[in-house]
Amino acid sequence: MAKKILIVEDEDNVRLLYEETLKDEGYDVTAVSYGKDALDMLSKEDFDLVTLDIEMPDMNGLEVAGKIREMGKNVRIVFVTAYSNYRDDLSSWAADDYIVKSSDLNIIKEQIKNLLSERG
Amino acid sequence: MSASKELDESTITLKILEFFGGGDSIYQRSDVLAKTLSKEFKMNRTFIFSFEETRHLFRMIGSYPTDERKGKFKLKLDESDVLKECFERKDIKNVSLQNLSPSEPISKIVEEQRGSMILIPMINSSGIIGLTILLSQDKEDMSEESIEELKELFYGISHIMEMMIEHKMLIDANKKLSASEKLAKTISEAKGIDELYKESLKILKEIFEAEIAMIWLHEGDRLRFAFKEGIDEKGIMQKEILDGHGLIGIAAQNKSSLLYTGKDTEVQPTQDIITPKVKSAIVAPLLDGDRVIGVILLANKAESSDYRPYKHFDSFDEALLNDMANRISLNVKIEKLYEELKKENTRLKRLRKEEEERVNQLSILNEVNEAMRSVYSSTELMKVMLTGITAGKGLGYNRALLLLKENDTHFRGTMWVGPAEGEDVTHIWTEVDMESGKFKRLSDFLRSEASRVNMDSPLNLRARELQLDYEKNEVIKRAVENKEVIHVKPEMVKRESGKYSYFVNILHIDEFVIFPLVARYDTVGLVVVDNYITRQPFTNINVEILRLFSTQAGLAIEAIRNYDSLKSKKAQLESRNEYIRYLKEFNENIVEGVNIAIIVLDETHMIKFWNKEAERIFNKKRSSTLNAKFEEALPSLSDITPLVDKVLTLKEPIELNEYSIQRRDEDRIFLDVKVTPLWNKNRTDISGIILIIADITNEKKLQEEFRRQEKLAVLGEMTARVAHEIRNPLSVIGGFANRLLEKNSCPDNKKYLEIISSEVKRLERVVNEALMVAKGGTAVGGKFEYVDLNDVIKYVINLYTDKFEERSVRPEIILEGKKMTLMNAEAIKECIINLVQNSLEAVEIGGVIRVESFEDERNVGFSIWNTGKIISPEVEEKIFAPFYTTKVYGTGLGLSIVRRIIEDEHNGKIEVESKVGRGTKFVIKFPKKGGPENG
Repeated sequence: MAKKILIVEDEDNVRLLYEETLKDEGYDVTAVSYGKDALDMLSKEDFDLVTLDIEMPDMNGLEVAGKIREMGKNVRIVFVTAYSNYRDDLSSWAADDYIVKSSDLNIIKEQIKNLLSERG
Repeated sequence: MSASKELDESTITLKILEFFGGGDSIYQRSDVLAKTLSKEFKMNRTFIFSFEETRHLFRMIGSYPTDERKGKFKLKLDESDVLKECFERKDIKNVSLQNLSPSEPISKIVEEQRGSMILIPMINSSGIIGLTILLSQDKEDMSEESIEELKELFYGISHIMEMMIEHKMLIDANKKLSASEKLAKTISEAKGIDELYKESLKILKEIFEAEIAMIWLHEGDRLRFAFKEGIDEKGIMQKEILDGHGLIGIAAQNKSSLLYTGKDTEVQPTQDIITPKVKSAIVAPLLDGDRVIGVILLANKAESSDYRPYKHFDSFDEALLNDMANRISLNVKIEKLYEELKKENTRLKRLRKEEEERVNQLSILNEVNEAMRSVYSSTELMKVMLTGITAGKGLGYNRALLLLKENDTHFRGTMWVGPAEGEDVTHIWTEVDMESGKFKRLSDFLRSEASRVNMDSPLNLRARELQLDYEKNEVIKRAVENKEVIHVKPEMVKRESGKYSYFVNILHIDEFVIFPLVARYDTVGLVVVDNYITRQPFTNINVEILRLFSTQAGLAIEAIRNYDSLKSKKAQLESRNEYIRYLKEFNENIVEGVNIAIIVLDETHMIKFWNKEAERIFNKKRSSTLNAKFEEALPSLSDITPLVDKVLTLKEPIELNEYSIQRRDEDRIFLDVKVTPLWNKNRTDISGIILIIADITNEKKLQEEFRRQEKLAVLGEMTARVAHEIRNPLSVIGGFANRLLEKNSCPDNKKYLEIISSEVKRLERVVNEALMVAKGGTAVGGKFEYVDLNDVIKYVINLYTDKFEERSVRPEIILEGKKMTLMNAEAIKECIINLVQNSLEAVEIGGVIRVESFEDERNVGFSIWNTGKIISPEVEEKIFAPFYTTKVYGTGLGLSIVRRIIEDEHNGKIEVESKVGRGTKFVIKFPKKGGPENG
């Protein structure tokens, strides 16, 4: 069965890029713009992995990650962000991985693949 | 001829004369002889003369018939030619009286100048003995026969005569001798002048067989009755007679003896002195040299056993008495002298004793003075003083009370040393005596004793209650104002009890001595000394000693005062000096140690002071700047000169902040300058200028650095923001470009898309580098993992394979084995990329780039070496600095990030070597295990 990935990204073009890239990898991809929407989604459906942008207008990705964990959802969380500075932030440890956005999509493809195969 | 032998002959003579029926007086015997001769030779008269050798005269000693001139009638040999002739011829001479010249002394023998005389010389072997004159007034002549008979007879008679005379002389001498002996014995046994006189008088009376004997003593111009024998007190009518009055008075006046035998020719005695009538007397003066000390009177000869028949004194007696008087006088003189001597001796003894006492006291006083001079505090001095006065080994008085001047009107009792009533003094004194034996010198003992004075003894407690108003007390006033020692005696107290009552009431004794303690000008106290226990009075010596003591005590007090004031002055001076020294050091330390240049100028701009910091800032030693003009020494500070003048005028300081000067051969420095006036000691006028200069170059640099950092930080912030903002669009552009590339576009599109992709990658790199610098972390992601370094190197080299070919560079890659290391592979990759990039840009066409990895026990690393352009030494220092680049393009962040990654993240080292002909080599090394904390 295809893994379900939820993409949370406020910038449209970026969201489009990741959505299409991951869809091409064969994942069942859902994309939302806001953190709130993400949480709604997660409460309704099960996902295998969530990618979170950090700098978002309503709720920043760190909070979302925290809330997801609070929900007790057993889901992989990956921060995918332009900002490298949050890597050392304590709250980023809620996530399983931290990817700095770059034009090289292989990085993100690899990381997600690895995370999803680590299940168990 | 011994006396006894002579006497024997006399006895024989006497026997002979007995035969003639004579007595034992020479006169009697001579009479008998004369009588016998007259009868025998039928002469009218016969005279016997004895010859007195000394006066060369014949004295009638016998006659027949009795002639009253016996003993008195004299014939001088020298005046009689007849006698001279007779004795020359030693022959009997027949003389007719009528034929005698009237001047012939012989003719005087009879009144009638008729008849004839037969002169018979009596001579012996030694000379003339005497003369016998046979006188016949009837006959004119004597028969030849008779004369012959006479001659023969007279030879024997001469001899008898001689013996008689000798005998007489002997008796006289004997008498004199025994009298003398007796007198001498009396005199020697007499004890004292009175006894001498008394006993002598007794002897004289006895010797001279006088009824009355008296001694009158001479005083001034009169004689006073002194001693008597043989007469009642009642018999003395006058006890005092003037010189010249009566026998006694005349003897005194004339200083000679007198004889009174009843003759009118003699000096007559007055009958108003003694009651028994004076019938005969001898008086002799007692003389001391020329001075009459008395007169001896012997009156009325008693019935005598003497050879002299008459009952009066004669000249022999007079002579003898005179003699004795002399002896007595002499002895009296001796006795007087002796008594004088005794008196003198006693006096001397007393004087000596006094002197000894004085000397003793003086020596004690000296010791007390020593003790007083050896202490250095007033209290000790007082104690030593009073102890010196009262200690048995000291001056030895019983008690001493000290009153000190409290103010102008009052004295206060301070100390009282001595045994209080009821105390067992003998015990104390004995103890003290024993104590004193321990010390060699009295002064040491006194000091020790003084220290043991009990200030709370009953006496001392009483003393401290005493306070007296000195104006009101006459005695005190006198002692203080006249600086007198006053000896108060019991009779004085009795006479004027009011005056002394104050002290008597305190001391309970009526004899004491008060003396003042006088320092240089004023009286500081009083001491009252008494002998309360022993009640011994104070002698003149005591007072004298206390007077001396008072002076010395005064001097000692003065000395202490001086010492005290000296001590306190010294202490003051010392503490001030100490303070000054401290301040000076402090100041010096500050002025020299402070990082501020202090330059002092006088009004003429001459440099008077130049501290260490000034030396440093202006690079001029003190020796070269002192006394030089400011403008000459520091031309670089010439702008300051007008300020100096301004401050001199205004007398207010002026500050110059961040004044910048260019030091010779050195860089620019920044100074804070304060020009301030230097006031003189009294703060009345300015004597110069103080330049206080602080080198703030460092501060300024720091400030600038800080500002720069701030700017950088802001820049960094902005950069980060910008970078992050750029990243998103970049990832979109590049991402879509890559997707297009994957979707098999046509070759033209592919080419363009590749260009877009690589440019985007380049931009991303720039963003990463910028972020790394701005944020100081690695913008590159990546975790620390165990990775093979060689793999990472290989990966990068592969990326640049085309580039190498483009420049015809031969890459030499030496990677041996596996070099597993804990590292941030992403970051290291970036480093290698940077370095390879640089090498590529530096290497010449056809050059070599060699990459080699290495490993040792602890570290792992690699090197990149390229030929071609080298890095010049000036540039070498700077290449690792951020933003440095010699390239026209590029941010120049690369190497600084590489260094950050290697040094900070991996705890390693990066070094560069670049030499002409040898190329450039970068070596990177880091520990195999362990990166920074977040690894």
